[in-house]
Amino acid sequence: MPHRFVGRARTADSIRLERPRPTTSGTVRGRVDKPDVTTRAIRLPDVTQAIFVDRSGRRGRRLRWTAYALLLLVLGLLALLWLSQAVGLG
Amino acid sequence: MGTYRAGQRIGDTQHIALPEPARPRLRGRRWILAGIGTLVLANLLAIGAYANSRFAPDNENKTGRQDTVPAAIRDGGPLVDTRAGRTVSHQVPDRTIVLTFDDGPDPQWTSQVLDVLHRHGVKATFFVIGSQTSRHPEFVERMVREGHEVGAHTFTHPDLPGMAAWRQRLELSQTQSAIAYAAGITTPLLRLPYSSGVDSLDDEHWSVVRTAGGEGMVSVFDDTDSRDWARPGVDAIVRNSTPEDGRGAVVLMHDAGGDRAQTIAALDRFIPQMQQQGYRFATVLDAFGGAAPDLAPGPASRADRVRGGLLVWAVKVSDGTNWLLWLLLLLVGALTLIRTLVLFGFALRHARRRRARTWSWGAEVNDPVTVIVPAYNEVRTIAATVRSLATGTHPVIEVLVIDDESDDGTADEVASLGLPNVRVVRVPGGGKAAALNAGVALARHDLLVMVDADTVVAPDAIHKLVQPFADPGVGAVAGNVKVGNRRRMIGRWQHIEYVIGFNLDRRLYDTLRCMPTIPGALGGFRKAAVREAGGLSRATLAEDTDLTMAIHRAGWQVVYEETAIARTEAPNTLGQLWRQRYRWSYGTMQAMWRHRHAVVEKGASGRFGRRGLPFIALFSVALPLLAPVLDILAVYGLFFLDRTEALVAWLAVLVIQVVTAILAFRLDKEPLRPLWALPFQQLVYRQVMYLVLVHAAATALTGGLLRWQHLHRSGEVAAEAA
Repeated sequence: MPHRFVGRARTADSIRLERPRPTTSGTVRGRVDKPDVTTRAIRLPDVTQAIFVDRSGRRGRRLRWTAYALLLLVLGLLALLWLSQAVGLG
Repeated sequence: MGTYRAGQRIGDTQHIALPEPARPRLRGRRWILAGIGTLVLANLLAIGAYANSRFAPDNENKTGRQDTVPAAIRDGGPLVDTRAGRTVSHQVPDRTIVLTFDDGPDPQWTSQVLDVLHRHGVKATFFVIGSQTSRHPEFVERMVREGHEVGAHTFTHPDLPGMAAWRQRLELSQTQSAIAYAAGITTPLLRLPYSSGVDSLDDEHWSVVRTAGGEGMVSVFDDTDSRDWARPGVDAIVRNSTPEDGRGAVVLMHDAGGDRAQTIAALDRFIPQMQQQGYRFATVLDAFGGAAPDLAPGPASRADRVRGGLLVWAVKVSDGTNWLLWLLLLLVGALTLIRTLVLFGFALRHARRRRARTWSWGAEVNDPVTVIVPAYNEVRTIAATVRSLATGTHPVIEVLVIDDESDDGTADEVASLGLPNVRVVRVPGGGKAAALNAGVALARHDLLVMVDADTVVAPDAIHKLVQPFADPGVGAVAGNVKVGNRRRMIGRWQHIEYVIGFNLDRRLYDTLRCMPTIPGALGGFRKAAVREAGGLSRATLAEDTDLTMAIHRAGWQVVYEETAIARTEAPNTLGQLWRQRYRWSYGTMQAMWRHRHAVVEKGASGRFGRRGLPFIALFSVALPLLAPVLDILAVYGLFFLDRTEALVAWLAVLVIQVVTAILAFRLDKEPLRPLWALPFQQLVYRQVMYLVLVHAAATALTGGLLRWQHLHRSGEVAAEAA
C-alpha cells in the first residue's frame, strides 16, 4: 500500500483518504455461517428502569463507608482535642 | 394472580418482584450518622463561639477593694513576680521604654506595627490573644523571628477574676499551646485582660496574679497607657505614652481591636522622639532580666506543639464552618427574597390577566371527557370521588375507574353506586402509572381528566378544567387542588402549604410557560399529548411530574386553571406525610434527571428546560436543602449571640412568609383564619419538609430503592362530601 505524507506524518492511503478504497489484498482464511438475525432479540433501552437505583448496592456501600471513615476521623480528632485540653489543665 | 417468591405468595401483581433488601446491620444507622454529624457540628460551632467571645476594651474595668494586695506591690514596679513563693515587683530602669502591644495579632495592623519597629530597629513585647494566634500564627512566628518578645494575654480575653479556677488555667494553657505551635516557644510573661497599672490592682486580680505565679508566669502591668484604644489623635497617644522626668516605663499600646492607624502614626513619631531624649527601647527580658530570673522564653516541647496544633486547627476549621454557614444563610436569604419578589410579580400579573373581562380561552369547550380514576384499596373514599365526578356539570362525562387489583372491595363499591356514566375496569396490579396507561387506552374520548381516588371535585371543576383546550396548542391543564381535611394541625399546615407553595407557584410557572407538575389529584390532558409523551412511565415515582415534563418536551403547552377546584385528602399523621413527601421529593429528582437534556434542546422543550428545570432545581431542591442553615444559626444565635438580634432575624423571615401567605390566600379567595397556624408551621413542619428532602437526596445519591407506598385514608374528605 503506497504511503503519503499528511502534514509531517507518513500515512497509509486508506487512512489519508476521506473515503478510503476497500482493500483487495487480504486473503480469505475461512468462512462462517451468517448469524441468525431473525431470532436475535432487539435490545431496547428500558424506559421503566428506575432512575438513581443501584441494585448492586455498590454505590451506597462506598458512600456509606466513606461517610463512616470521615466521621470516625473527625470524631477521633475531636476526642484528641478535648483530651489534650484536659491534659493541659492537669 | 400474584407475586411469588420461593413458592410463597408475597403479594399481588402490583408488587414488582425485587430482591429482598438486605437487613441493615445497624438499625437506624442513618439516625446514628445524623446524630454524630450533629454532634460534630455542635462541637465546631461551640469552639467557634468560644474563640469568638466578644470582649470589651481593657480600660472598662473598675478597681475593687485592695485589702489583700501588698502595699509593696501596689506601690511597686510593673513586673510582678509571684513564682515559687516570691512576692516581688520590679521597676523599669530609668530612661528605658518597654513597648508592649496587646490584643493581637491582627492581620491588618500587626504587620504594620512590626514594619515600623523594624524601620527604627526597636524590639517590643507583644501580649497575644490565643484565639487570634490560632487564626494568624504567621505573625507570631514573625515576631519571634525578628527578635521581639511574645507574652500571653489569655485565649479569649475574659475577665479572669470572675471565672472558675479551671477556666483560668485553661485560658493560660491554651494560649501557651497556641504560641508553642506558632513560634515553637513557651513564655513566662502574662498580661491580664482589663489590667492597667499596679496601683489599680485589686483583691480579685491579685488572686489571679498569684494563680498565674503558681503556673510559672510573671504578670506585666504598665506604667503609661497610650489610650490608643480611644483614638484620641496621634499627639495625644504620644503624650500619654511619654514617661515623666526621664523615668523608665512599660508603655501600653494595641495592635488590634479596631482601627490602629493612629497607633502606627504615633509609634513612628514616638520612637525617634524618645531616642532623641536619650531613651533606649527594650523588651521585658532586656529591661528586667537582670533583676528577675527566668524571664527568657523556652523551647516548646513536642507535646505542647501537638496540643497547640490541634487547638489552632480546631479554631481554623470552626471559623471556616461559621463562615460557610453565614455565607449559606446569606444565600438562603437572597434566594428567599428573590423567590418572593418573583412570585409576587408574576402571580399578581397572572391574577390580573385572568380576572380581566376580556380574558377567555376561546369558544366554550363542551367536548365529551373521560375521567380516569386509578384506585388501589380506596374503598373509604372512592364513592364520594366517583359521585362528585359523575354528577359534574360538564355535558358528557365518562368516569373510568381503573381498579388496580384492590382487595378491599373498591370495584364493588363503585359498581354498587349504579351510576350510568361510570365504568369499572379491573387490571392486574402494576402500579399507578400502569393503571393510568390502561385508562388512557380504554378512554372513549379525546379529552382526559385524571383524578386521584381520594379527591372530591367541585361540580363545575371538570367543565372549567377542560376550557383551556379551546386552544389547540394546550396539551395539559393543572387544576387547583386544596386540602380537604383541615381539622387537625397537620391538615392546616398542608392547607397553607398547598395555597402558598403549590398554587402561587403554578401562577408563576404558568406565566413563564414552564409548569413542572400537573397534580395527580386533578389534571386535564389531551389524549394525543399523553400518547406523544409516551404515556406514563414507571421510571420515576412522581409519574405526574414526569408526564408533565414529557408533554412539554413533546411541544405542547401546559397551563393552570385556578377555577377548577378539587379537595384532596392530605396525610393525617407526620409519618404518613413523611412517606408521601419522601416519594414526591425523590420522584421529582428522578423526573428532573430523566428530562435533563431539555436544557440543551431547542423549541418548547428547550424553553421548559432552561426556565422550568433551573427554577425547580434552585427553589424546590437547593433552597429547601439549605433551609436547615436558618434553624442552625437561629439556635446558635440564641445560645452564643445577641438573643434579641437572633429573634428579630427569625421574625423577619416569618414576616416574609406571612406576607406571601396573605397574598396567596387573597388570590385564591381563601379565608385568612387558618394562617394563625403559620408561626407553628415554622417549628415542626418546615423542619420535616427539609429533612425529608435530605433523606430523599441521600437515597438518590446512594442508589437506594424507594417503593411506592400506599397511604392510609381517613375518609374525612369523602365523609364531608357525602
